[in-house]
Amino acid sequence: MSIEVKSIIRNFIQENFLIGRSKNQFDDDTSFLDTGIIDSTGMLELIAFLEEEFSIEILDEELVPENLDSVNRVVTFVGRKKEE
Amino acid sequence: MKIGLIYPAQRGITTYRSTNPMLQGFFLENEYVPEFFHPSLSLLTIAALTPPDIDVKLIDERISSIDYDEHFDLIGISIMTEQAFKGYEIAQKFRERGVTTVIGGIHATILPEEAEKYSDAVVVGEAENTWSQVLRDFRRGHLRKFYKEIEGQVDLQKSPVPRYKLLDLDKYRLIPIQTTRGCPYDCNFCAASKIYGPKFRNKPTAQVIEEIETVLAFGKNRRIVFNDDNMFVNRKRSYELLEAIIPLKIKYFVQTDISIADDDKLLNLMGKSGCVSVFLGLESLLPENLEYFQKSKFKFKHLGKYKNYCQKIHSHGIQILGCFMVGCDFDGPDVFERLVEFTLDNNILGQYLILTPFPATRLREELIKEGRLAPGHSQWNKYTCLDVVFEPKRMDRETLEEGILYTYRMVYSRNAHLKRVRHMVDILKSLRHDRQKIEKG
Repeated sequence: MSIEVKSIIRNFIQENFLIGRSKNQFDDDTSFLDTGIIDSTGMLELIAFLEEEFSIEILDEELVPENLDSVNRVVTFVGRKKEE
Repeated sequence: MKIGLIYPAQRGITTYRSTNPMLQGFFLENEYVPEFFHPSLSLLTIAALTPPDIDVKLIDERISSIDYDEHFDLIGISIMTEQAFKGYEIAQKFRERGVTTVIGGIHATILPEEAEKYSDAVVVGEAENTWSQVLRDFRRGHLRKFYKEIEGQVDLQKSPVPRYKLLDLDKYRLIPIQTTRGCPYDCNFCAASKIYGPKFRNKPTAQVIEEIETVLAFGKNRRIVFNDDNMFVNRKRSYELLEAIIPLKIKYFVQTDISIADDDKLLNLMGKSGCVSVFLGLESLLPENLEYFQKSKFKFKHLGKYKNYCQKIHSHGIQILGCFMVGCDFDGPDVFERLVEFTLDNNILGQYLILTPFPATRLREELIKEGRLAPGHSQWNKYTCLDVVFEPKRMDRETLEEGILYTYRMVYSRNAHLKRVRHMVDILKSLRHDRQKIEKG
């Protein structure tokens, strides 16, 4: 499950935020915000994608970097939400 | 030969600046106010106009300090009104060390005699046609006091691609590109038409695409901010440009006017071409203020539709940053509550600026005539749009300062932020869903 989720999220990041940059230039723990891969407006797109793709509803209090600021954090967060 | 091009500022202070410690403290601490921090496009353009045999160093004082002992043959400083004192101070320090200084920018263009007191030469107006002459004269040792371009005469087709390669890209997420100069609306608080002339000029589509591709080559993953005063005035040209931008898959911010909401074709193209957020000068929610700002009454005529317009622009997945001015002649102390309510109800981002009588504006002339601004008022460091420099009509200065802080606090509270995020996420989800349905046929 988590491998598949990771692949979906990486593809989304690659297609939408890494235009022209090699996939290998960010790893699964790279902070999206600190490295400029995703800014606060891009975060909106990521949240919308996650809700749609994984049929989850992200609560307001969950909209924090701890859940959304790297591939691994997103994978963990989505896994937790799917179990709820 | 080595040139230093300097953007004067207080280190660490980016988009919002105020001499009021309460307001400045708010902006330094709040996490939700949108930042549009980007490098100076005018200095990047000057760098591109400089022959390649000259070494050019860009110094953005917001992110780095100036080393006055570093060797430079010539220093160029670009100043807007609020930066004037800082720019003059920098020029003085370099002159004390025997370095020649040239000052340009909007403030120097409006008040060249003032800038000349602190520098060896002043570039008045747009620099595309004059900068090479400045350099030639400097090399010959015959620098003139003033280099003046007749307003609106620069052909933007001849404007070079800004020298983005000089940027420290780790410091900037937003990269500016300018596609047009001028705005047809001639608001009484704006000096743009005095600088750029009344004629609306634009770069050809191919030239803009080349600039975008240059930015993408040097600054991958960067968002682009189109630094035009009003980008979509010429609709036919705008359709063509946006169509050409779509394949580049960029994300961008743009400044334009509210009339875009009446143009479905344009909104559609904006959404498809990657427009993330649009900066709109909504100015005021009071018709009396809007009527006073513009002889053409353009904004006054659109006021009744602001709410519908916001919904329509949002429906294309585009965020709105509405810019409002406070302290206008018809604003009483209730203006702040009204702005908070409008902003929160419509799920938009808001920028609230204190009405500021910049030099060369009709507003300034009128306030001086009414005795609400001293004729020689020149505390330029307070022309931040977040400081009060004149006597407001229907409230005292303290009420205005406290009111603007209250407005920002309410609009950028955590709850207000989350409500806006939720609103936009729902729209983006719905758009994504619709796109997938179309793709599946």
